[in-house]
Amino acid sequence: MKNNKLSIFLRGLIAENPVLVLVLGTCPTLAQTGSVIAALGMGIAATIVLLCSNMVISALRKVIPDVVRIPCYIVVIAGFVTVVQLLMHAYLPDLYEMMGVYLALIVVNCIILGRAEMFARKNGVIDSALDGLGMGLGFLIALLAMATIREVFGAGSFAGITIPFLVNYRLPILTQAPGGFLVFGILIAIINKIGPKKGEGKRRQVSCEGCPSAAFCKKVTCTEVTELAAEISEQALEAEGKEADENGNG
Amino acid sequence: MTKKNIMPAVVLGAICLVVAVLLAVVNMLTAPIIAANAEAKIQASLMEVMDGATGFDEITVSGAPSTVTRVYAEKEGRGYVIILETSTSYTGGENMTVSVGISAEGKITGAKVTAYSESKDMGKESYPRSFVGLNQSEAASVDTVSGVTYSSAAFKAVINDAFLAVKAAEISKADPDERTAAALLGVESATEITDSVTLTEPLMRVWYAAGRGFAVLSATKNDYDPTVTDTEVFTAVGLDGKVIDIHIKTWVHGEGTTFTPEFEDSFAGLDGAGVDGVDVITGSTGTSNKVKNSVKAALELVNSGIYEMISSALFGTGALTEVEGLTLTDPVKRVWSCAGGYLVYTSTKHDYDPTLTDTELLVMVEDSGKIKGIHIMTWVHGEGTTYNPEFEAAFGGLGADGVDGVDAITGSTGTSTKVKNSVKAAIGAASDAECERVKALIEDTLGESVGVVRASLGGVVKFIYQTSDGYVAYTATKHDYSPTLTDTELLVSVDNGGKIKEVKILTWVHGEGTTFTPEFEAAFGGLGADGVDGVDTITGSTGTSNKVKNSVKAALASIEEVKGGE
Repeated sequence: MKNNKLSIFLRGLIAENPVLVLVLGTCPTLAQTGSVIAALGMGIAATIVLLCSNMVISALRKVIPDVVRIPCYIVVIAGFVTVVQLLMHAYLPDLYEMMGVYLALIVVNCIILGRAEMFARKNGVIDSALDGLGMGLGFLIALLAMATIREVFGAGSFAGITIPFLVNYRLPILTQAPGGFLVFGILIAIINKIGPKKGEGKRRQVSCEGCPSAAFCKKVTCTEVTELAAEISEQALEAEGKEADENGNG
Repeated sequence: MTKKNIMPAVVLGAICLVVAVLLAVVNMLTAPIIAANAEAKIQASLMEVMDGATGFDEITVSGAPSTVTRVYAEKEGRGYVIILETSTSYTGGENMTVSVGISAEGKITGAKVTAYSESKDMGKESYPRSFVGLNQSEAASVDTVSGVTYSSAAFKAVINDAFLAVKAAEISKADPDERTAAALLGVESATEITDSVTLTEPLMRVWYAAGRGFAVLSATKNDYDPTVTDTEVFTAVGLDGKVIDIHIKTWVHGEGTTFTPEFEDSFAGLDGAGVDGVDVITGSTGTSNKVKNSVKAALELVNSGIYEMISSALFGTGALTEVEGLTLTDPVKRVWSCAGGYLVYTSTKHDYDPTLTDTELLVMVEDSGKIKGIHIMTWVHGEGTTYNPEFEAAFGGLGADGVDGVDAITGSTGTSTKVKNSVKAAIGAASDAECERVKALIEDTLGESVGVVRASLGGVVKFIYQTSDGYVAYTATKHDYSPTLTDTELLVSVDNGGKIKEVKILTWVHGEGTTFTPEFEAAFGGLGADGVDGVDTITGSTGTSNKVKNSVKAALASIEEVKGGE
């Protein structure tokens, strides 16, 4: 059980990272990773909203009727986003200014509504909290990774602190939209390479159990079934050919 | 309606209610902090957009554009900072707050965006910087930012609104009477010249607007109770000496009758004789006549001394004495002598419509021959371009040879050239007037007629005249510490042989009150240029004595030059 809870938490960090694996929440990812500070702010805000909304939605999952579940989820998510917005505006006004319109756009971030729909409404409060926390931190890690690359090599600074050598050799395109897409694509490629292979896993899950041809072919793998089917076809064709010859001669 | 149909709505409604309550609580806690942060940011921006400001007072301005939320006046009159809020989006709503500093000279000292929430940055720091140092028309020609058109266009619009707010602030700053006077004259502001004019009852205050005329406020007391002001009338008088309009500010009548708008309107375009023909208000003959008398008094004041009123206000000339017997050539129309020099009035006609006066100037020329200042009373340009205060100010301190160097107004080269030619003509007229004055003085002093040989208002030697047996030079020097004060004036008579016949000291101003002696004057008699240095100075007045000696030497040199030229 403990391992299960840990796996729920860890899943969101790398294996099912919402940004680099599931490719959700792309808009804030590209818009807020020009600066490490903005990325940190966005990541923390999204994590808080994800955690709170997952817990509330999980707590109300048996109360909310199916027919109005999406509007209810959106009201809850929007409420938490507004609370975060007001608190940030009051206590972190500079960060609030930096994040601009993207703070409010957390409401329509696919990660949050997606996890509410996929996980929170089917699982308990603790598990939902762990899932929200894991996904949120995964989002944060991905944003920080992208922001670090873009700001260090694009602006020659880190969190606003100028790096003396790099500032003279920076690549400004990395801080702009094309550079954002480039870095995003490269990070996804890296994660795909080093992360768990999706194809292999799926293939391992395929077996003769449940296959309608299992009783007929009595083979271990579908590859052998395919070869057998081809052999049978050839034999059938040869048989047809011989019969035609005999009829022609006769 | 079954439970199955009602429950979803109830649950959704309950969730909305709970979220609303939560948000209300959080808003209640954070709203004061957010407001305080926003205020702190705006206050910080005040000093940022106006370098060198010592502090600000918030003022109330009426007539400012709707985007203006606050106006601050810098305590030492450096200018204003305007806070504006505008929308940058398609859908409206206020989501950009800007602080704009505008100097007293009408140029932007700084601009700062204090709140901006659009996703695309228009250059929040760099774009406002491109407006610094520009006036209203220059700011309007700054390009918007490609790709951020709405936001940058909104920013340009609030910059223009800031200029309008400053104009409204200047108008609001004026006292109510000044605003009324300006409105009657059809201008944004008028200059009060009350202190420069001698007023008698019922006249109280006078304002002047260039190109328009004068507004005069008069007040009369009740016949039976002198502590009660029963009429106060504004009379706007044009430069043609006729009524433009009147405004009755106060009308107190014992039986409560009041005036009509038709009564006020009936004065327009009238001169003094015409005012007598205005019908009185039935039942208020006495009060009506008080109004008419106030209007006539205003007309009389203006017609008796338009130029004196204007020049006293602008140049401090005081009383004017018209110079008679002077031969004037266009565009010079009139010349007056006054304290410190001469006032010259010039007028030019339009090239295509000779009935239209297109420029009228007053030029104040100092004794030194330099311009103290000019005032453009009328500037008529076919395409409506006008002059600016900098154009008038550019003539200050120039002599005749410097006037051509003044830059013309863009788009009004012809009219600008007319002004410059009028100024040069005015300097020449002032020189002629002074020359005639000195000639009359010499003729009075020497008792013989003289002819003008050389007239130049520059240098120590002002004029040289020819007598029957030689020459007379008039010299004048300025005080070393008070350059507007003439401390010595001499007449130096020289015979045809170049020897001094007589030195007459007309003016000797010495700080400690010492004066010259007849022996000092007589000591120059019979000397040539090389003998002047040998004349003893007056004890205790070495400086002034030396000025006299140097003036005599300069006179001798100039006369020799004249003789050499003949």
